[in-house]
Amino acid sequence: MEHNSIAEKINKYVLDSVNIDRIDFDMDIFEEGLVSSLFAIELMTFLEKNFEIKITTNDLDMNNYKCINSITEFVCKKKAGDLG
Amino acid sequence: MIGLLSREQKEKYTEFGKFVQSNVQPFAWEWEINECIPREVIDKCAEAGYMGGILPEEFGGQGWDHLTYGVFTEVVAKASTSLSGLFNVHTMVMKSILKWGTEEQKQKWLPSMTQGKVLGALALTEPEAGSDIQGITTTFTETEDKIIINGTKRWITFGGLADVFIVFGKMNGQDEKATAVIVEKNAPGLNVVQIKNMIGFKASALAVLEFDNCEISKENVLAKPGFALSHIAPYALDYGRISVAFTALGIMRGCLEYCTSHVLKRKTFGEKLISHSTIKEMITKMGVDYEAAAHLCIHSCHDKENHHPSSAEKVIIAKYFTTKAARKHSDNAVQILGAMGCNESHPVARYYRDTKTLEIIEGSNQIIEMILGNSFARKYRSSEIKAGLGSK
Ligand SMILES: Cc1cc2nc3c(=O)[nH]c(=O)nc-3n(C[C@H](O)[C@H](O)[C@H](O)COP(=O)(O)OP(=O)(O)OC[C@H]3O[C@@H](n4cnc5c(N)ncnc54)[C@H](O)[C@@H]3O)c2cc1C
Repeated sequence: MEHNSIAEKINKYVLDSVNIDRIDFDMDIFEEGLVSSLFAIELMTFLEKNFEIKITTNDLDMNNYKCINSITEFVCKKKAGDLG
Repeated sequence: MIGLLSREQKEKYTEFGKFVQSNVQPFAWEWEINECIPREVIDKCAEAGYMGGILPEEFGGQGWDHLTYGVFTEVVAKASTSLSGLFNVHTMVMKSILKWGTEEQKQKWLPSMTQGKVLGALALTEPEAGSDIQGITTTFTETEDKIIINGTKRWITFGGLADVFIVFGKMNGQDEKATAVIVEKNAPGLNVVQIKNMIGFKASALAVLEFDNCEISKENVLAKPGFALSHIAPYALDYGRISVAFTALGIMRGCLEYCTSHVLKRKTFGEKLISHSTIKEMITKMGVDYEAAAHLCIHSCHDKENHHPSSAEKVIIAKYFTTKAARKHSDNAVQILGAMGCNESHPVARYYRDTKTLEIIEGSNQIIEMILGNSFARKYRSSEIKAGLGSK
């Protein structure tokens, strides 16, 4: 799956989970307070299921989940095996 | 309920029922009176392999699926809500270590926990912070090789019996990052004080944990500072809510069994109770809610099994519906049983007390309304937008 389609899939999921209609790919989803207290683990489950990756303690870095762009980068690296 | 299970799950249901019939049911009342569950009972559960049911075989568990864990909880809770509380907190701790622990932490704790040699409890709530969990003030201060804990945790289920705790606090000097650590009961500076006189979960050995310069090794940090309240606690509570939902389901099942047996025997005004329409209505509502709750509980477990992103919400829905229904029907069960239901020796009296607490623990039903209210509003709104009706 290439970078753009990963980003699109993540965008669609995040949009379904936040209270706004459109989202900038650089917008900080957690800082803006757009999401519920369940979102972090729901996002984790979504990423694990849809991109066949396993998120572990090593991946707990807020920079990985800040915005759609950073989540996409994280998934791409994870899929390429760069993050173990 | 049973009709919705696979063949293996049905076999387990029968096995659990037999275990509970001989080892739990006859003694549950005594445990309530004494406000404690004897260690031998826990040893029996361990012998049967139930302490680590849902853990993988690699760590000594049974590799149960989520629904088997749920069914187990239902069967246990029907006989003893207090005992179901043990499996709840012990499982939350094991699952957290399995997901977030280092290899060393997993090897150190999980095999002894699945064997029931070590019991776990989860310490989140404080005297000044319950629902508003971001407000916890327990502090972790780093020294060269240790972490020093100060603060108080309250209402900790099985805190009085547990050997190891996952404790949540804020890391001093690191932007007060929310952090979870593993603490052994004999850590210097930890004092455990048992709480008596709860109205529900009376035998669940609730405790206050007082940390006064309590020292633990730095290796006991679970995952990384900063993720305790966003990832670790919600991940654990997801399992806690499965347990609470199935506990409420077990109570509803018990209400149904005791009430139906009673209304088919007991006569008033020359007729069996079941002949009276108001009684029929109560039994009907009880049965319908039990079936509906069972579907929600089972559905949430299937979603969890399939790693569905919305499974956490499904679990919350199941917890909310089932605990509210159990509250209502345990009230009706006491009504149907009359004076018999008002005596502590009858299980419905215990159900009546325990169901109140089910509405408070693992995210009170008001807090769930905050989460689900927003979520449903968003879902409804986005379907409007999809249909082109949304106002921009
Ligand atoms: C039997 C039992 C076992 C427990 N076991 C554990 C355990 O093992 N580990 C642990 O950490 N804790 C445990 N707890 C504590 C439990 O998690 C808390 O009681 C719960 O989170 C609620 O917190 P509180 O009691 O401080 O109530 P508060 O947070 O003070 O709330 C009081 C009331 O106000 C309502 N409320 C709060 N905020 C709002 C709002 N914004 N809008 C509307 N209503 C609101 C709540 O729903 C509640 O009804 C246990 C409690 C009980 C009773």
